[in-house]
Amino acid sequence: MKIGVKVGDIMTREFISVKPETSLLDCARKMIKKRIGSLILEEKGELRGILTERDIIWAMTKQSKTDLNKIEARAIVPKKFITIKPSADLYEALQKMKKSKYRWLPVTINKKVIGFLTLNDILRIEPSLFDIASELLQIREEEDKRKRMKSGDKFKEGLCEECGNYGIIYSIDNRLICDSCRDSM
Amino acid sequence: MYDIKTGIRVKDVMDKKFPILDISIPLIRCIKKINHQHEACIIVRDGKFYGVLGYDDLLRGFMYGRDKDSRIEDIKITNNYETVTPDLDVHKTLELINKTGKDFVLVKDKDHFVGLVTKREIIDVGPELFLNVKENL
Repeated sequence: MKIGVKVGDIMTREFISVKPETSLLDCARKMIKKRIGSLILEEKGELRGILTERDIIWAMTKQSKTDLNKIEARAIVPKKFITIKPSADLYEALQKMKKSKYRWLPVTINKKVIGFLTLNDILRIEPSLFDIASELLQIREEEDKRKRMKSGDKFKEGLCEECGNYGIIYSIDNRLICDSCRDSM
Repeated sequence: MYDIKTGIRVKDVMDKKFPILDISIPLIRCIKKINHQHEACIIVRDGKFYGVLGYDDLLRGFMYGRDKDSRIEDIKITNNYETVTPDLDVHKTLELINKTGKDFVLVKDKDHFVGLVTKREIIDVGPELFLNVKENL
């Protein structure tokens, strides 16, 4: 299955990262300042983990705020994380997100982080995808129209006397009927 | 411009079991209620809707002097929200989330809150959503 959009084309390239030894307090400050829900832990370009606001909140329920200054981010991030390649199709990314329940995926090549795919990236491109889909639909309808003209069916554009929808209508038994009403007759 | 339908409605994806919490309860209880199952919870005051509390509100609350013993009423919560109806196509909800930049929309049916659509629900239908559009072409 393919959607036709590559992860590398839509990912965030200027992602926010911190060193694994950064304190949770500094991580929380950075998240608030940058208005983001997650941070990439990176060391010499290599991915070490993803820290989320959820991880920090759970740490806060167990420790005081002053203790958060002593806890390093790497101490609480999940050891296992899922990554995706920039050449992967968006469908594969969505499947991985669904399976893992993560709203983001680090994009890597040979363990090096080159981007971050978030649900926001996908939502940002989504309306444009639908626009492309609309154009394709329009092209297809034009093609169908041309085919009908070639096949010799008598038709014109107007209101269907059966359902009232505007579109291609055919003259059947002295009534003007659209394609879908014609099929259901 | 064509109005493309994905065939997936808000009621098919919304979180129906979202936690409803009173504003007077401690934050620690609130966090445990949200747990890993939900992205946000509805806050009520005297039984009436007050707002929606998400993880970003909690993080900000903790950072600005609150602790686990503080109560929900001590922190600033989101009361600026968008609503949709259960029968709306989920595509419209995506547009709304994208436009407002919020993490969720509330689902309202005849003046009652019946669900929440967060980014988690969007991820759950993500692959099918795109394929449905493709198939509908």
